[in-house]
Amino acid sequence: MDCARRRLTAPDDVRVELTMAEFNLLQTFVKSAQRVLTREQLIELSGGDADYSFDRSIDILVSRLRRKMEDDPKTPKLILTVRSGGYQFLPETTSE
Amino acid sequence: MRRLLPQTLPVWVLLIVIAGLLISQVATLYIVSRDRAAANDVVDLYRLNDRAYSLVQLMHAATPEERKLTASGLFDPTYAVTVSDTPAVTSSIAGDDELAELEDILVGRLSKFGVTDARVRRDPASQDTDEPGSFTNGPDAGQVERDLLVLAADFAQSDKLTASLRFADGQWLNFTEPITPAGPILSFNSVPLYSLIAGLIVVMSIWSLRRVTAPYRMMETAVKRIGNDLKSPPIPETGSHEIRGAAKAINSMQARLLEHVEDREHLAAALAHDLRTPITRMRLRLELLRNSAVREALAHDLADVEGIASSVIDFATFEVTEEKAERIDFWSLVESIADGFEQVSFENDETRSRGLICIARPVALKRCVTNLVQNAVTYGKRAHLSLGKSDHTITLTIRDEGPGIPAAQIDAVFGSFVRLEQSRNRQTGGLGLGLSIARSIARAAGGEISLKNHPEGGLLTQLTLPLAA
Repeated sequence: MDCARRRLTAPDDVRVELTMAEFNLLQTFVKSAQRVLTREQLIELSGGDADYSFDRSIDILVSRLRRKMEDDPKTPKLILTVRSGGYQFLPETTSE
Repeated sequence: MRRLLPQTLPVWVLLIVIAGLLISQVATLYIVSRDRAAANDVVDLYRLNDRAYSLVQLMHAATPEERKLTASGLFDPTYAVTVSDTPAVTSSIAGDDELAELEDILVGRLSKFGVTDARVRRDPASQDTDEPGSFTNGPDAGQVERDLLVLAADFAQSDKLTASLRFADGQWLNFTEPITPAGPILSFNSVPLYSLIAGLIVVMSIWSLRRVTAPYRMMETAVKRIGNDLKSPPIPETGSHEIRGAAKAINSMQARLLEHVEDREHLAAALAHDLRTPITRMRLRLELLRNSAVREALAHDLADVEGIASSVIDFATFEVTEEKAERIDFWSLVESIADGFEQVSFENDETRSRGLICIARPVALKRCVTNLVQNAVTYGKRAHLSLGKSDHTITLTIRDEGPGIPAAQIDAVFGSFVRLEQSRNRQTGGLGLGLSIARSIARAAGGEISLKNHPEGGLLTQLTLPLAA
């Protein structure tokens, strides 16, 4: 993930295209990895656009991110849903 | 008829070589067989002469009864020798000049033995094929024995020369002499060798033809490739002298073309870029004018000019920029673009597979897909996207709900500055560069864009890209 040039590259060197909102959300997840974040927190941290101000829009963005990043979107391993809490970004993160 | 003729140069030359080969072989065989027949004729006459001489030498001094005895002792079905009071050759006039001359020679040679007349006649082969019994056709017959047998059968069935010679006492000596049969010119045994040589010649001509036409074929593929993508890598200058020369010529042509095109692109970009400054100045000065309908109209026109300038810059700079090709997850790219348009629906959204990877310049490819989707949305109201994959290609299919394009104009829309909509209305589209940009991007990535009208209405746009391993 290259935050300055806003691009994401998969481990096998394949470039994955994200929309701006998706990238912002992923950036938020990566910054606070392993913490459980509520939907409100996510909206606020990822730049709180009015368009995404209701909860469902976060769910849609998360499902899109999962489709683009998970091997199997049905059984996510990267972004977990926490019951009655929100979402959690699971992997260890390292930054360069 | 025209369709049966070969269409390629090598096939033509090959046909000519084969035809020439056939003609020369047939001519050679014909000459050989004629020479052989002529040689056979002389040998036959010589043999007859010789035989007459020895027979007459043996018999001329004997009494008629002794001659009969000797003749029956010498009897052989092929070389029948009889002695009688009448000649077997009744006509005293020779059949042709050759035989007449032979008769004269016989009389001249044999007159010292008292021969007073000689008659020779050519007989066609007798129908009674009495088998010569001297050679047994057993299963253990050797090669020589079999050859002899075949030859004897040929002799028994060939034409005969019958000669009658009159002794001094009036008795006639009759004997026949088979003409040496003309054997087959091309014997069965030499057919394999013959076809081997012919095959070798054909193979050699195919090989040399391929070598000769290699530069042509290389030039064809190279020119085709340059036609698709001017920036394709130059062809290697290796191989024979001619191929190297052709490759060098093509490479320098490509380099000069590229230089030329880049010059033009830089010029266009620079012009459009320089236009921006006066436009900005005009915009600022407009702000100073008092509010009026004219000011509104001028502002509107300025916006148009600005839009045109920026699309020219886009068109020119996209070719010039040195963006590196990368491996791209095509699905995520298409979805990100589709996300930006409200009127776009993604059909096989659920069957997401990560296997759709292509190699292209990311920004350019995004531009390409965006242009296609933009077109579909602008002219066709709504766009339905679907992604497919075959063994070597990825296909993005975009179907819109618009009126489609008249079939005759489908090729024309790829041209730069071509817009089917006659009004240069800036609201529904730009300069007509979108498709031509999209296509040159697709081609640079080894792909292609095709348009066709969907049978149930709407335009079907297909972008195919090679699938990366």
